Amino acid sequence: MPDASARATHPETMDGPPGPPDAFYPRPIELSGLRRDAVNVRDLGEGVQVIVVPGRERLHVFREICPHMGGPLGEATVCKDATLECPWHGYRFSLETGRLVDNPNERIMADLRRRAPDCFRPDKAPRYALTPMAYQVVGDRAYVQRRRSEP
Amino acid sequence: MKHHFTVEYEIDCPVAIAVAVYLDAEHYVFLHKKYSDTYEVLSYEPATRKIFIRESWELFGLRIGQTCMTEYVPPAEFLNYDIAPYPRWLPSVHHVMKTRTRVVYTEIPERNSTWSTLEIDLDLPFWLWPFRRWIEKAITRLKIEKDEQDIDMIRRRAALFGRENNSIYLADHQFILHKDEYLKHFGPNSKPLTPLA
Repeated sequence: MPDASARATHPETMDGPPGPPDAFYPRPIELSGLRRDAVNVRDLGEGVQVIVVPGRERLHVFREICPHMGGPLGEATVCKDATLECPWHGYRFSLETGRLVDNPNERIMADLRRRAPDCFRPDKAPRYALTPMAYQVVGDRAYVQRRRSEP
Repeated sequence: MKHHFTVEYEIDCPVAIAVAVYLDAEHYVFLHKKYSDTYEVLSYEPATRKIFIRESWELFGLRIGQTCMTEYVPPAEFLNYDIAPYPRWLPSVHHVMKTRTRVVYTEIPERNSTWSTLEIDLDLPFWLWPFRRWIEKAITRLKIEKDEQDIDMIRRRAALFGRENNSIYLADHQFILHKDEYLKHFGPNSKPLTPLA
């Protein structure tokens, strides 16, 4: 969960986002309703859905879309090794960094992949990663910041 | 005694997407884990596009399942046969009933959509004959349930990336079964399919 210092910086008496409203998505995340070590889906407004996984120190906030094939991360599984498993293809991403840490199909399909035709080039795989979304806590709410390139 | 039946319906996506989803083996034990959570390749013949597989799941601490020969007939036909229980001593209808399935996807050009046809041939002993409709219903239900999971995936991807977007399946790094054949028929330089008559 967000640490105490974050709360102290933004006392509960404050109302609204801790900065220019344009810098944040319109709907904050209510911290009190979050399930720990589980995937919580939240709508930030403007059609943006995120997943929120409360960790020990902080929230892990990512877009709800798997960067591999667009899978619904709202239905992902939080694994014991602090990874998130996509329900479509089982790709696992680190909650801490967002990086892809495992594609289990490399083992499941090992024989087929080894003997696959030339048009399959695993060495060209992109570095799939979830992009962590920054947020700021005000009282019992977390305001998610827009990325600079976003409107 | 032979019993033949067909399960047919439209899948609202281009044939290129329906075939890609079928060949996208990486999703089998994740999206469809309710039905089997382990997929093992027992043998593979690239020239004939035959893959002998074992699918299994755990029941009361015991891993059970079935082995099956799968075959891809390009561009849009898929065969399953030689189905046997795993482990072999497992009491199963497959000891006495031979099952052969054929899935064919055909284009519906006016809607850029897919007509899915599943043909099932059952070879039953006489004492199972009275249960043929029950077996038919069970197989039909299983087919529809799995297809619904795939259709949800197809719909979501269409909303995110576009209805005809099969670029991820064509990407160099993406593994799908029989990818060379898929590229021939559904890649950037492929020829149009024969539409549904």
